[in-house]
Amino acid sequence: MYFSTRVSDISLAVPAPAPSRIARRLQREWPAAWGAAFLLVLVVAALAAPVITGYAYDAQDLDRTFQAPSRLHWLGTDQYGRDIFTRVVYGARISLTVAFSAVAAEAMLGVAWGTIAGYIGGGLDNALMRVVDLFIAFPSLLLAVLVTGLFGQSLVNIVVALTMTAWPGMARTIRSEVLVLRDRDFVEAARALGASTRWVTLQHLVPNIVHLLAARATLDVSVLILTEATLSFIGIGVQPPRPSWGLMISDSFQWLQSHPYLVIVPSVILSVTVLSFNLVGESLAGWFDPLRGPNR
Amino acid sequence: MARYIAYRLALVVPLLLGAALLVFVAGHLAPGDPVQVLLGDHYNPQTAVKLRHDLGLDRPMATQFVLYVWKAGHFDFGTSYVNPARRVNDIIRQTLPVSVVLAALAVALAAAVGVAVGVVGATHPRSASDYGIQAAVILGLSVPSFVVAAVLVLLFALHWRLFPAAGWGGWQTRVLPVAVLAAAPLAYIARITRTSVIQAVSQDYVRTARSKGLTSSTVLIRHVLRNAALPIVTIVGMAFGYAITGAFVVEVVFNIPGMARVGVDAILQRDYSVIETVVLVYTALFIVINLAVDLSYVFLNPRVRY
Repeated sequence: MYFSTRVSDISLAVPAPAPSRIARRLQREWPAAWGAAFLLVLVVAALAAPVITGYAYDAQDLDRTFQAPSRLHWLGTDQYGRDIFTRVVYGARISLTVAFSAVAAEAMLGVAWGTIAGYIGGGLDNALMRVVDLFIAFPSLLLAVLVTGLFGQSLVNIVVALTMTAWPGMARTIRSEVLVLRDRDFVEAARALGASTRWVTLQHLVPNIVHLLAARATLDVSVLILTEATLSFIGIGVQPPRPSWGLMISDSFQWLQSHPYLVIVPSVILSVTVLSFNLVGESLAGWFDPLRGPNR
Repeated sequence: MARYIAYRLALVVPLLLGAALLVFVAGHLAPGDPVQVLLGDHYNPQTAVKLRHDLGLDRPMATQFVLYVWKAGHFDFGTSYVNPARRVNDIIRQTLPVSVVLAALAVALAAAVGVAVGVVGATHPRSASDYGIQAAVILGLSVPSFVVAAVLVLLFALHWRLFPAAGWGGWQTRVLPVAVLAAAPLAYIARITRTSVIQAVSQDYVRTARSKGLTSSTVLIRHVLRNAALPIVTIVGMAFGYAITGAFVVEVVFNIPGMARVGVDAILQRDYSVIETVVLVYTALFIVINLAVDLSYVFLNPRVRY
């Protein structure tokens, strides 16, 4: 089709940086680079959980409780003699699966909602954004607590709860970006050439908000991992015997005085994971920021 | 201006109604029957029917909702389902002040320290202390509150025995919960202050103020901070909202008799009248805070005109 002006045809898109530039950037943004490396290791460990550990995450061994780290138990054992390393790795599986699913869902919902509201505008925009206002006026943790508290704590419900807390913010961000893009020349040109709303949205608007989406979604992952951990900590998130970092911390909280190690291990893993997502997300946001872009 | 205030005030009612409807529908769609929970082992069909009737749960949902809104409009929230001897009004009256005091102390601490730290970072850009502050900020944003709680309890309550590990009484019991609740908002406030002060410092009027011989503290307070105040006030308002819900963790960890604890317990017991009221009170608090933040713009920045 003759009007299929792609993003790459327009100099608007971020030019692909040369390899040396990437290296230089990695050097300058070493915290984000370390964060990304940690996340890579974590994801691989989570995927390969059954391979890298021979224990089951809920296998109790009451003769071997509170063991110190050893060759048998790399991170020791907890109050029920369960292998902590195994629980941390399976906990990563659950935390990451839940957070990634929720981010995927809230991103789709937020992008659809924000794009439609921003591009079509008028009364529909008004109606859609009032719904967003309503959700934002609602304290997000309270919303999540209500969903899992009332509807049960299955993993699906946790994902639904997290999605509900995150999508209104995403919809708002996307809408304000679409409002700017809508009046850009290339969108107007496409419209003048007779492109349908659907075409303009999918071919011109969405590709141009992908960068914003990437940064925002990465930061959202960190927030949602925190929310899931908080729900599990309060007791209305992931349910035992399934391991979740938040649940491991609350389970061991009563042993804080005698065996602080049990609380410290999942706390460190959880905090470093959230920190890494924050570092990578902020680095991405800076990368796409026209004032601090990759070429500066 | 008056029109804007009127518009914002008019929005409060539909927002509250929307929140009430949301909780109401969620509560009725949720699996689990409050009557069954209430009766427990004493469940039999006749008493169940009677109790359902007494609680008004056998009426159509629309009727129940309208009745609920009507009563709530008169500040009558009924009695607790689980503990019919207790009026919800009394529960809220006892627990809300605790949560509000906790949140207010946390926000005051976060605002005072956060703004100070942010200003130090902004006035010494790229110094060791600035980098230290930036690192501390991102750490503060990443570490969950219950981990902060674990660390503080471990050090200050169990190791050095300076403060009690739980409870709510004298001032000693407030130190740790307030510190835990203040950590994340403090980091946010420090970050926003740093950014907006750096922006304000580079403005022409700041150079003018300096060149006409004002001392640096006068320039900072009168010219820089006043102009950097808008985003800071926004973030402090948001911090208050955060501190109110952050109480879900802090009140549970430190065993504080606040509204968040009551809310969590009510959700687990399906005590609908309490759940609905707690949610409504939270939403009202949120709306009032947001309104206060937006209206404060007008007084802080004469350039803002609605």
